[in-house]
Amino acid sequence: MDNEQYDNQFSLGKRKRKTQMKIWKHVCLLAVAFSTVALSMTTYAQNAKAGAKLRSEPSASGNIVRVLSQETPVDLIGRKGFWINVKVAESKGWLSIKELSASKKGSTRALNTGRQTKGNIVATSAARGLTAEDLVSARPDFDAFGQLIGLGVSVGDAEKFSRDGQLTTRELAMLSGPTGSKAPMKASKGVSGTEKKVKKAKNADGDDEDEDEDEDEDEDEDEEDGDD
Amino acid sequence: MRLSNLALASFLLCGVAGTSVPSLAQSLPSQTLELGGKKLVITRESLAEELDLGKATVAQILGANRLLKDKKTQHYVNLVGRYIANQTKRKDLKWSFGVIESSAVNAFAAPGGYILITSALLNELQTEDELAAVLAHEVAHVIRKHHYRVMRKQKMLEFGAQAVRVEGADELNKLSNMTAQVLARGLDKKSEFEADRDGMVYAARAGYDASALYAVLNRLGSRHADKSNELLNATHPSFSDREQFLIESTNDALEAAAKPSAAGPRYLSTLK
Repeated sequence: MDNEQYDNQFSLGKRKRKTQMKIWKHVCLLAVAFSTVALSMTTYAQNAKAGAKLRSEPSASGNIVRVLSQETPVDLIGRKGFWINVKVAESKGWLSIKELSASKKGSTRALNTGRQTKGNIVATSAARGLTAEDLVSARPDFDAFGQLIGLGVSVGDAEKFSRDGQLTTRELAMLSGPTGSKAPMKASKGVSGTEKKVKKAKNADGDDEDEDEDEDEDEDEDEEDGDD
Repeated sequence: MRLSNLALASFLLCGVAGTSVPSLAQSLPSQTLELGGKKLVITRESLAEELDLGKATVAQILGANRLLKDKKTQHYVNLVGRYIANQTKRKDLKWSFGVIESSAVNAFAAPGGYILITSALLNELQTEDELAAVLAHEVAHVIRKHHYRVMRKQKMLEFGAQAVRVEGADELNKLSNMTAQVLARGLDKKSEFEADRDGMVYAARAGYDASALYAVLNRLGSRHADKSNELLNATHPSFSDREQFLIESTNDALEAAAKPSAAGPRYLSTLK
């Protein structure tokens, strides 16, 4: 992100004389170096909850390196799945993301500051925007609907595609629990993927295999809740 | 005003169909209620109506942003999306996925199994796991009929006693415009959290990284708010709330499924 900015400045300098170019180059390198240091010192800091278990591996079966007796500031180094690599004083280890204190800014956002390989994956020359006004004022295009339908693929094609990609399905239960309409709430996490529980949770969550008949009509009541 | 009527109507509907006359909903195709001088036709949910509303929704969105003319990309997105849909209880729908040319970062679920994703959002993604995660969120909206249920109520209000199925060019245009109002207003937060949570499970069932949606939300959340994410931001809970909700929803099985899949790199190798 920062690199990009400096690269731009750099290219401005390029047009000027060689000496100026050299100066720019040095300013650039210094600035990038300082900004990296600054980021790792400030933005990456987070607090871990009291009782958090620092483990040797990004897994619940990893050895416990240390248990934090109180809320402790940690430096975020990296992320693997739902595990965060952290540094606490002299020790390094892995914490479950759940053990980081909730923060308004998102617990691990700071780990995203590195330059991403983004942009121009899909070439779209002069694509239009899509604001609420654009959407509401558009004239419906029913012909284009037919084109969309033509893009669909078969179940079999998709299964072959998954095999080509070495994807293996997992038996996992749907999750249930409250989905508060305000701040997120603690959801149920009693389901561990065993078959009996799979069945139970599926039903609890409306993901039962019964087809559409008599769909839970009482659910309709909630439907308008947040629909201000 | 309208919405309070709507809430009242849905309350009445539950009262009528659920308790006092349980067989009414089965025996009658529709029923008319008078609400403040306004006639309201109460119909049962049907696949035909869901597909009609889906078509109207897609036509409206494609009227604003056209389909990307890149067969390879469209086909790839359909394979990933269809494979996700195969993990759900509605695999019998004719699922279609489309990339639309748009500078807005967003994706849409239309009733009946029609999913659209913008090219700007594709450009934010880096792996097939992430694409699967985004599509799975939209698929989850369809499975739970989130948009369908809001749209059908709005349809009952706007089209009143006229028709269970909307016909005629003018009326169809009007129906499409109505779906746009619903999309522009967005769903309630509860539905978005549900779609995040269900989508995470569908993607993980398919063999993709269960933490990919978290990663996408995390990345999009670190973007500056501008025109390109205006509609997405206005119609969804904050990224940090969504991230937090996902984290709190996970269990041991999902944590164990939070690993990059072997198919991940296929995203860049196919689209670049």
